[in-house]
Amino acid sequence: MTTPPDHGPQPEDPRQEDRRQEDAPAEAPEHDEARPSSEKWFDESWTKVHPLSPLVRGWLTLVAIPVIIFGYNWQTWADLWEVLRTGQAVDEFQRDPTPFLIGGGAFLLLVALIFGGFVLSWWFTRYKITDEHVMVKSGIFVRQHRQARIDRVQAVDLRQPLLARFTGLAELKFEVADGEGTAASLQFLKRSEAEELRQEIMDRAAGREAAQRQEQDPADHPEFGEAGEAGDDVAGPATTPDPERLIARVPLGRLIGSVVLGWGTLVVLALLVIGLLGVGVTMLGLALFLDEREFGAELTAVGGISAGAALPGMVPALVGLAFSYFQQINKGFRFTATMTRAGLRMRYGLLETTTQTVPPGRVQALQITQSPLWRPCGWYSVRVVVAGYGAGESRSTLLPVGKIEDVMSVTAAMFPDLRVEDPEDLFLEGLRGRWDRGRFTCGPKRARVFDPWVRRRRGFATTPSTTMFRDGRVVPRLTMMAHERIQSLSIEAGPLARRRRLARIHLHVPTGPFLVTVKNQDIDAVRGLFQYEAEHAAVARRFSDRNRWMLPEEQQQFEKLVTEDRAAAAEEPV
Amino acid sequence: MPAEPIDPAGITWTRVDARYITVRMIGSCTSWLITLAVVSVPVVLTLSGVIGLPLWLCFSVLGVLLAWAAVDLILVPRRVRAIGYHERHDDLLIRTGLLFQRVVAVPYGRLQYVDIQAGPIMRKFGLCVVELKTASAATDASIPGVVRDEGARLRDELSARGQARLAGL
Repeated sequence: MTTPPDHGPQPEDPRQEDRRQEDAPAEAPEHDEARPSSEKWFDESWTKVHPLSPLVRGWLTLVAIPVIIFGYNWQTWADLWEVLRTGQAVDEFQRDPTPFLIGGGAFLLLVALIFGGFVLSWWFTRYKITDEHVMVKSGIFVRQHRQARIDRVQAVDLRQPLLARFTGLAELKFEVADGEGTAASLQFLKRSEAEELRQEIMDRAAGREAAQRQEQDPADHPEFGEAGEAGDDVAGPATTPDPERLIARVPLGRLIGSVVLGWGTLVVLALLVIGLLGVGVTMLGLALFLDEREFGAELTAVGGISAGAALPGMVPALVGLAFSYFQQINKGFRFTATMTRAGLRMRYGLLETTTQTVPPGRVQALQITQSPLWRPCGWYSVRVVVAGYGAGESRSTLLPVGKIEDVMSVTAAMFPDLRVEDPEDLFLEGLRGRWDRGRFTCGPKRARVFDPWVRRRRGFATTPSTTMFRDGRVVPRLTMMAHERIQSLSIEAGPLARRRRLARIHLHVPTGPFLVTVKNQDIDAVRGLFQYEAEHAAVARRFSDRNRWMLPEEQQQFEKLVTEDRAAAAEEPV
Repeated sequence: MPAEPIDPAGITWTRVDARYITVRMIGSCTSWLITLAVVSVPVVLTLSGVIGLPLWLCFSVLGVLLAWAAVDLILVPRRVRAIGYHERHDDLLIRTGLLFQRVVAVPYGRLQYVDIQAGPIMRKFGLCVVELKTASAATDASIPGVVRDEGARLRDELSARGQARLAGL
């Protein structure tokens, strides 16, 4: 497949099927040709990245080298300036030009090397998008060929570091299910090209040729059928200009509030309390062991000493705190989540902006948490497990901070329907509820030994589509997972737990920022849940995987195999 | 072995081969011998007067270690007998553990690949370890001590069923 720049501007044509079909025969031979000529490393079918990209990538080097040179030898340079200014240098040069020539030559060589390196690295970095793969080749001496299967793409990020924003460039990153971390990244493309490419890749990752689009899961995500993407000031040839639907937005005030009331503040407060306690205990000890006249003097001394010791200690802590505040605000600045045809699109960032796209079908599990100081404000944050994002916190966040309504709309957009009559009540019960008054099952009374404090919250509930785990009293958590996304599941019980007839259930997801597990539950309830999940997971998977994220041929094959399998199962007596 | 409280109802576990007890015994004995050898170095040095540790400390540490080793070795057969697996229509169940028990269910459709491994001692006894991988690192499902033919059968069977129910992510 050629890359979007080659398409040229297409007239406004909503029937994209035609365009794709016309392209198809032209693509196939090109794809085959690439194979034999691959000894050439790359040919014309490979596209170069933007010429400015080495500069954007390596600007730190460009800045760092003069800074290091000047920083370390400041005195020398000052002397040199003095020498130049007084005209001594000219005399010296006229007497013996060799050292000047060597020095100047070395300097020019350095500049040429850096520049040449940039040019070479740009020349040798090429990419190519075929029907099945995104391929990136890079490296001057050690050559690297990265290849990611498009149908395995889990999510696509468009990142713009500060300098890239000035130059109008963007980096495109693909997460692939097979590997930890980013599978392939294109650094850098023109922003419009990158957006176009993203659209195309997302379309193919969804196994969704244009014809298929209409039948796409209309029950869960009605907006998918019609809504396209347009808000991104670019309507590529492959997009129908339809408005994106706004899901959630984080106003600056709330972001600052959430950061200030976040974990950093808690840690510093805890340190302060510990410090004050320490001082208090020391004073108490002194007051007990010294008589009163001495006490006054000692008190001042201790106060002075502890203040003197605490202040320098506090400075780095406060600087760190301020830095972490800034980082969080920098990251969460103008967070906006919209629903597009390709999935939930999140835009955020002050200096470096990122546009992240996560298709709903790629969300493996979802967790809603509330940091302790957020409770009076009623704020929550939403994180998800997406295969390929890994355990890192930053990109797994669907909503950094939001009111309950925002949380609900994000969850509704990204998570399958709970399939109960009053999903909101169940949801609220999971976030705020206690004991098993409602539909959640909590641990039995005999779990009190292990769980004196959290037992009233720790519990589980199931709906026809979802398992919900509720946990945490100081830090309330609600973890939700669709049955069809369960990779495998286990029950675990240690010796003490077994004596109390308690057990833990663990639903396995790909590596992510949280685990889907709940402990200290009644052993029979857990066995029941285990059985239910195991059966449900198998059935739900059959239905859900058929319609989405599969190519038509794959789907047919899948259906055939399932039917055969069913038939075989019916024959053998179970 | 009677059904444990965490076992799903109505499951008869296929136990692993009894020869695996010997394999585990050899492994445990070797590691305990190494541990004891390392720990007894200071004891021997003390007895020969090179360093001066208190004797009661030496012997109590050695005693505790020996007792621990004895309990560990005695428990090996029961640990091995606690391992079991069962093929259901849609998933494979594996149970492990005597004290800390675990039952894991791996749906065939989620299998990414099935691995068979065998170290030198395992090979000597004609056994192998069947390891099941899904997209989740938490799955951690392996059946150690399966006879090699049964291991190969399991691998083929599981792969075939996985193909039939292919689901990926």
